[in-house]
Amino acid sequence: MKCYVCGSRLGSEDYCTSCGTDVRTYRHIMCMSNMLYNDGLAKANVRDISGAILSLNESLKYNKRNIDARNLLGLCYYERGEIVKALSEWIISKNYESKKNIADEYIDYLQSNPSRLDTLNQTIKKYNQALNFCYQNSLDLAMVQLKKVLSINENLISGYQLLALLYIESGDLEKARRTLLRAIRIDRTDITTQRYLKDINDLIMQQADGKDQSAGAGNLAVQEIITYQNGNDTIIQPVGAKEKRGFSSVINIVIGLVIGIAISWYLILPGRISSATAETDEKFMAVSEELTSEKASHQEAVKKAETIETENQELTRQLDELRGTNGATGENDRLLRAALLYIEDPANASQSIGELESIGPDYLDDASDTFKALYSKVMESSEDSALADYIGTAKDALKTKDYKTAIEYYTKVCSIAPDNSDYLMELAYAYRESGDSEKADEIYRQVMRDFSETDNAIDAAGYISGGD
Amino acid sequence: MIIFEEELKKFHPSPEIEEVENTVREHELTDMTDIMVELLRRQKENKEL
Repeated sequence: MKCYVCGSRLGSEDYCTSCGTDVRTYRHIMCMSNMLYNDGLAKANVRDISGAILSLNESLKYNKRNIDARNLLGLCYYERGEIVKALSEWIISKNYESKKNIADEYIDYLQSNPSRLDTLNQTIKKYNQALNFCYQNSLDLAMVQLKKVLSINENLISGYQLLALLYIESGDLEKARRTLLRAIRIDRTDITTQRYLKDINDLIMQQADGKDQSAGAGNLAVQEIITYQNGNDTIIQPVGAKEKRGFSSVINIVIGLVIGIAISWYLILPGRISSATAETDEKFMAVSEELTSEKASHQEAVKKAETIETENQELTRQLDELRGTNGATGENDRLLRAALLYIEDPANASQSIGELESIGPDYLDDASDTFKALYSKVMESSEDSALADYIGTAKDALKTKDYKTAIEYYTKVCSIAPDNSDYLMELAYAYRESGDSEKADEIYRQVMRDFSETDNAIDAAGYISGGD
Repeated sequence: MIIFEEELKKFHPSPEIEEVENTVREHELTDMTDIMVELLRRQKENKEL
């Protein structure tokens, strides 16, 4: 403690040892301030915030420089959601004691996060707005606004009180009571909160009495309400209300079971069935897709096997043809036989030609160059040798009037020697004598056309049956 | 008994953050020590007169 005149440290004496000032009254004032601070601290510790605020304010009236009391007063305001009051106390505290003052930390805590400070400021504005709504009799809007405020600033005691007042006005006593109980948890001894709570309890009791009276004259037992505190909750319990037991309990259990079964049947079971069906459908779809895939691959395999089988058969057939094992004489064999016949004896030329002619023209077109060359060579050689045979046979046939044979051999002769008109004339003669004048005339015309400057042409013109 | 209108009058708008300065300025900062010092000063003046 320092002397209020010279600032020297005071001892146990009733006067200042430095300037001689009487400090008894001053010491008494300081003691009062400290005592009130202690009282405030004790109250704050048991959440008697309103009581603490009163004591601390008193303490500061004795000594405005009591830093601890001022800081604690700021904390109490902060706890009640009164931010501006709290800040102003801490600022004044910091002004009196700028060093080693915990008020610095409190101010920093609020100012370090601008968004927090802004949010708190918004709640203050909304609270004021709600108050305005109340003045304008827009109670619903005020309620909505206050609920928003309290959802952000959960310690705003005046907010709870105003909201409770609105609930009371709207007749919702239970909500008002719950709102006030929340305020009580923050500040146990706020006079306004306590008064509202008491009035609400009175109103609830009155309503309960009214209900009992209206229940009828037969109900002699008047119900009373016992109100007591259980922790932070105020319990309101009617006296004499007995819980119904026995048969009604059984009925309640049965009803509960029925409702349970109904819920299972109508809500849970369809869901389970639907879930199980969906699961089965999914499995079915998966199996179906797998089956389809398997079928497709099976069909593909079968098709491939058929193709391979066909190719195999074709190759076997070709191989058989080449080997001659299928009963048919191969084209190669025919060519070889024709060549063999001619080489063994050129007199066999006609037989050799027969073999060559039996080779199909389609095969000849697709045959190799070697095959074609051998074929041409054998045919050329055989034709020269066979021509005389054919002519002789044909002439013999004409003599014996075997025109059919004559036509056959002269046709061969003409095919070997197409440039000789004599053979054509002989062939035409054979046709005419055999009775086929039409064919004979056709050959005569051919002679006239192809060999026009020969004697045969002139003769042919004479032979034509139509007189051309 | 709670009368809404009467109770409503007891609620006042809360000062906003911007008004902290005014709140501090308007704060009553005269304490018992100040009064005592003032009284002693006047007493001393009277004695001198």
